[in-house]
Amino acid sequence: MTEGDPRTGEPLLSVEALSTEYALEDRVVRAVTDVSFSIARGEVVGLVGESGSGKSATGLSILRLLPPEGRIVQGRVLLAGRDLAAIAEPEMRRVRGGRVAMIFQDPMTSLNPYLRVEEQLAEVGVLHLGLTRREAIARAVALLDRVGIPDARSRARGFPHELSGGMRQRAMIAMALLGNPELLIADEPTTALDVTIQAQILELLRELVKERGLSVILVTHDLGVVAEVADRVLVMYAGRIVETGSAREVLAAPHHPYTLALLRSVPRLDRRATRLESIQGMPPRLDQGPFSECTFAPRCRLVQGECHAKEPSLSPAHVGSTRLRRCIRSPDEVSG
Amino acid sequence: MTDALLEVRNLSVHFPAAPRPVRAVDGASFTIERGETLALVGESGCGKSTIARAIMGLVPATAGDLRFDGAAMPPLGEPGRRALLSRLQMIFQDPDASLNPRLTILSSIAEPIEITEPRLPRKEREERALSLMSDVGLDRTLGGRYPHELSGGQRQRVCIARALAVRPELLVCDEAVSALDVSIQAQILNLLVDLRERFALSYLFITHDLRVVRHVATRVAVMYLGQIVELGPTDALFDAPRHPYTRALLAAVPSLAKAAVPQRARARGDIPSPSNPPIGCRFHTRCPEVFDRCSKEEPSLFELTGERRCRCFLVEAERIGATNLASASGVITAEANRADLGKR
Amino acid sequence: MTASTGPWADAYRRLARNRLALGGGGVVAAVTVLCFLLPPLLGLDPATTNPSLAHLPPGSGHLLGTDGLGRDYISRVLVGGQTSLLIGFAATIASVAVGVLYGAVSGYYGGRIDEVMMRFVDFHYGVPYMFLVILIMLLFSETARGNPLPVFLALGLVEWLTMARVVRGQVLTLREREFVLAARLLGAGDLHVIFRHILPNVAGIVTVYGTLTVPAVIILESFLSFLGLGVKLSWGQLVAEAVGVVNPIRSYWWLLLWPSVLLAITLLSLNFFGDGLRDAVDPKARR
Repeated sequence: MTEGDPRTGEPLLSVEALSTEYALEDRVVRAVTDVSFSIARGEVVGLVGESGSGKSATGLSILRLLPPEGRIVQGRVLLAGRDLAAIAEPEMRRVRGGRVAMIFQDPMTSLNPYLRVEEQLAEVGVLHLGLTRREAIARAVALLDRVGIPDARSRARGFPHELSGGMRQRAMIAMALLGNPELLIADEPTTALDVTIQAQILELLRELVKERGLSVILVTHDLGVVAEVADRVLVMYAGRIVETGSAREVLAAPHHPYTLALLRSVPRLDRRATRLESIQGMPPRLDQGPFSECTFAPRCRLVQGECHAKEPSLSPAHVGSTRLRRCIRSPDEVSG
Repeated sequence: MTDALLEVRNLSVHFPAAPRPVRAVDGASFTIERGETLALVGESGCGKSTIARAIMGLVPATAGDLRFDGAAMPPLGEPGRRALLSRLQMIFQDPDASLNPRLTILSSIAEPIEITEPRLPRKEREERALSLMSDVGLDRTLGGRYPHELSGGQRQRVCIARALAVRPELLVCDEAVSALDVSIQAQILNLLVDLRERFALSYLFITHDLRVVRHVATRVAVMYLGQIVELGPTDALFDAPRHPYTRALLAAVPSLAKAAVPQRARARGDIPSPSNPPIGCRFHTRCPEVFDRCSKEEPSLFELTGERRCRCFLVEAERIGATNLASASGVITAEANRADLGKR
Repeated sequence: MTASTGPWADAYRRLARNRLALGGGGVVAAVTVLCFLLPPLLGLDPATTNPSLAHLPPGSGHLLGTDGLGRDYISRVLVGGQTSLLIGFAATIASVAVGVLYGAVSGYYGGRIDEVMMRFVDFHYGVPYMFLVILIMLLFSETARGNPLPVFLALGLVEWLTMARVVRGQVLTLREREFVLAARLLGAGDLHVIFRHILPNVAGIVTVYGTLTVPAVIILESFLSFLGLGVKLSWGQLVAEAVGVVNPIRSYWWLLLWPSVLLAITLLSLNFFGDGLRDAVDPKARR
């Protein structure tokens, strides 16, 4: 079930019932199961979860950047009417870096150490915008300047190792923007950076969203980042979306026990908690086939008999609500 | 004279390099009392990990004095270190690399006992190790497993059990929870707090994550480029940070509830390299409150209150109430700043 | 709950899944068994000469034919195999032992000791191999020529270098790993650290490189024999003799074929097995 877009107009990207599997040497892991959501223009959607939740795999699936053992086994990824999961690779290559761009976690390895910075960025301009090399480089330098790299002209002529971690991430963002994308998928873009640099990068992203009407899917494990930057949030667990809604609402009053437990396990900056809530047990294995119960049931505080009968579907708590959750309990029971 | 467990006085650790040595730590001083938890917090290049290593004897101090319970702390390998080994232990960031992949976890936990009490019969040694496993919340049946069969959180518990095997008094936790998922992090933090009570431990908690600091530390030392820039009790420091870097740090933390710091307090630009720190106040190149004096002289750590220390001309000026000081040297008057800071 | 699996058990399972490696191992095992068991069992005699039976093609009586002196060829090939394989394994074990010890000490202590030790290795690498071998052979008197010992020495002296380098590299990395630091922080002595922590974690890569050293040694030995510097009876020696009687009039194809084939399949199989072992032992080789 796709989520309705609270604003008027068509969603930019619509993911429908996406499922992705990884075929390892002795088993098959279903990293993403039945993920559906959409994102509107100028919207920042936070895809949040812990490791193994499927958040990164979802991002990679959208752009078909999965490793050789990964493949989309079900679902559609609709961008302006075209199903990205189904189109041929040459066409997909035009989308990647063009209409949809991606930035990754580790700025140290995301840039080619043997090419000058301007070369790498210019490549995008030449391939996706049909610019000449000179035009592409000029555009690259302008963007490097926009993302806050001081002395952009001479930095561009230099090599990646001459840039700090924060600068490299900015260069990545510039590179992603060069093709004029409508959607940016950012996979843990600030996790490897220092805190003060992290804040700068997040602020940059916010500005770019406002300036260009850029949509962003922000994959992160950090609820604080979601609170700072995202309009809407999708909480993932065991490869599924377990809760969606506006960031403010979900973080203030979650409708799913996992979201609540996650919130309670994060230490707060404004006061010392007497004891952090921790979630007993571990996430389930994703290589055992379909689930006959709610994936969170073994660890849930509010589990009841019915939870073991079958997996709940992602549905609103009341009719007409745009907040969805994969739980049979009522929101009051969850937060009460 | 305090009954401090650990005393660090003017510690400097410089690493030889060309063209200039890397001044990883420069003149750091702090103490840890029995039963307290001091957090060392800061970003890349601040020197917090180096301090940990110097305390553990893994890295020689270039200058300064280290004392544990009054006794000198020579580097590892030198004779004086032997006696200290079982009194302070360390937990590392990466639970993967911290365990020998070829040893069962029972062997890993029992190893310290094997080394320090070689004459203890194997049965007893294993029994002690099993009991430690229970202490850290690990199922005793997991003893025969190998590290790769356990989750990250479980591995970190094994590391903690191993560290506790020699019954230390001080535990140095070097980013001990940074590599763990949020919910697992919570488990380990809870465990560390519990163990502190049960075994009367003191902690030196090294981290870059301010949220964790608030939860676990009694006192905090904020570091930048090898120096301590602010030091004080946790609650006081978080509720009313004085040093511009501390404020910038707090402003930068992506948090569900914003700390009491306005957005304008953000730090600009990149973190300089420890091999080439800025002249004068090391933070001045990024400081939102910088004025003239900052780029010329290096401020020293002064006593703000009995328990608070700060390394900043601005804060010092305010405290002395010397409004002339700031206005004479430059751009902003102390009063204007006070008004500035007062705005929430 | 699955049974606990150690890193060795894990590696074993991975190896068991690799058909090519298993095949290779099986072939080597089969060849070894044939070479060592068949001659005594069947009472084969590689040495008795009988000029009247010279250069007989394969047929009844002599399964693989006879050589120029009428000696039964199948006996010579199998017994020759014994020598080739023995030298292969023995020289490998020796070079592994020396190489591991050397590399471990060099890597663990580092600094000056490491520099000096590695310079010695570098120097050794620079000396032309053939020069060394000839030197060694000359050190032994005429009667000792053809004897496996000098050959064994010459081969062992070359192979340990690579092992030393490989082990030193591994030890350098391991030395900085946190679990080694943790052991040192507990007061573990150098010997404890080396034997408890460093060597077990090097064992994997040593096994792999050791297995791949065997074919390297066998080929070196064959080469030496081909040049006339080898032992009296080995596959290489047989190949050399066979090449020596090549003439445009009569072809004694069986003299060249049998030892060459056995040499080739043994070397190939050892390489497959060694490759499979490397994939099985090195977890990073996955994906």
